Amino acid sequence: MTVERGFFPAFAAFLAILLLMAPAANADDQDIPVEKFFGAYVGDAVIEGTMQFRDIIVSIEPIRNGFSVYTSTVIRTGPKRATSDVKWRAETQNFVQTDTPHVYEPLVRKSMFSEKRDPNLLAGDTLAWASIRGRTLGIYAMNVLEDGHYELRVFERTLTDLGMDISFVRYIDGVATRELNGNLARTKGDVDEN
Amino acid sequence: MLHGKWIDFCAGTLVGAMLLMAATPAAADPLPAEFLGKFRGIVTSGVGEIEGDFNMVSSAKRGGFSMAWSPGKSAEFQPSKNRNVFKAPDRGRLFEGAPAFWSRLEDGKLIVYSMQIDAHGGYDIYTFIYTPAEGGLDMIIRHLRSGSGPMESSARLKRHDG
Repeated sequence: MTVERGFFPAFAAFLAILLLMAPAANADDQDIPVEKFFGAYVGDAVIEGTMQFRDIIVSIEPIRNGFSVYTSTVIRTGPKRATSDVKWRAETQNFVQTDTPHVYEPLVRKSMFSEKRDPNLLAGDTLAWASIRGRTLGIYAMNVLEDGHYELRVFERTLTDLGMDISFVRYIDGVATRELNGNLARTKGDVDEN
Repeated sequence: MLHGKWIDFCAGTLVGAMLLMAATPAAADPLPAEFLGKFRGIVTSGVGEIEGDFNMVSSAKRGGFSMAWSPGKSAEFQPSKNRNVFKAPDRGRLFEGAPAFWSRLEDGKLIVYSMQIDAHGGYDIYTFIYTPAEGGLDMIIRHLRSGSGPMESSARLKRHDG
């Protein structure tokens, strides 16, 4: 009986300590889930210090164990799109969850002849990954060049009341060499469908 | 006759050795002596995890060099195809937070890099630029990490092995 009387208060204290520790252990619960980014966004951006404008469409969708980001960029040099020097590019990037919380790696389709392997940053491979910090989805790509300089490209998409703020910065050896910022609105059609 | 053959043999061996040398990747020059030894200084305005007393120890090793620095980092930099670039062997998966280290020589400076994906999935990159100075090295530290702008600090490191 004495053992029991001693045991239960101690056990209760242990539980109380566990409860107190829980919020600290889960300090990253302010990172919003990737599902909140799913949708289509339309807007524009400008390269800092220039008159180079971009019309941008971003669509973020779920894929198995991750997400896909489609980005369409119309590159124009003036207020009008319909000019002879207008350019357009589009790309889709697919990322899947890694074993590390918060970190997504590019989806690599394995062929039957090749083993999946991590990129070798120091052998010249591009190291690309994605993560969510707060309301920002970051997509990063890094290279170590043959002469030892490094290049880091940072694409960040931050959810706002209107939709999404986007920023792109290219760093060479830690110095920002190109910066683009823009605002996108979440499209209504997307909201209706969801 | 025998003498001529001996010369031919020597010449052939020499040419063979030269071809062999040309075929193997050029070995990196050893690190200039100014960067080797024990150094210490104080980083007064800290960047990232580096603040206060700073120690750096380096020594030549197998055509490259090993280096340890505050707080508790170390790497063995091996020569690469580029004679001015040194790379440390893999420490594990970068996606799981393993660091990558490399370095290069340029214009008499030694530049050492460390890169890591932090626990939050962000980038965390340090650049150390060492320049020979009287009695030691001048050091500039640049820190680039997710969620904040680039940070920079500097310190004079005094050699204390002589």
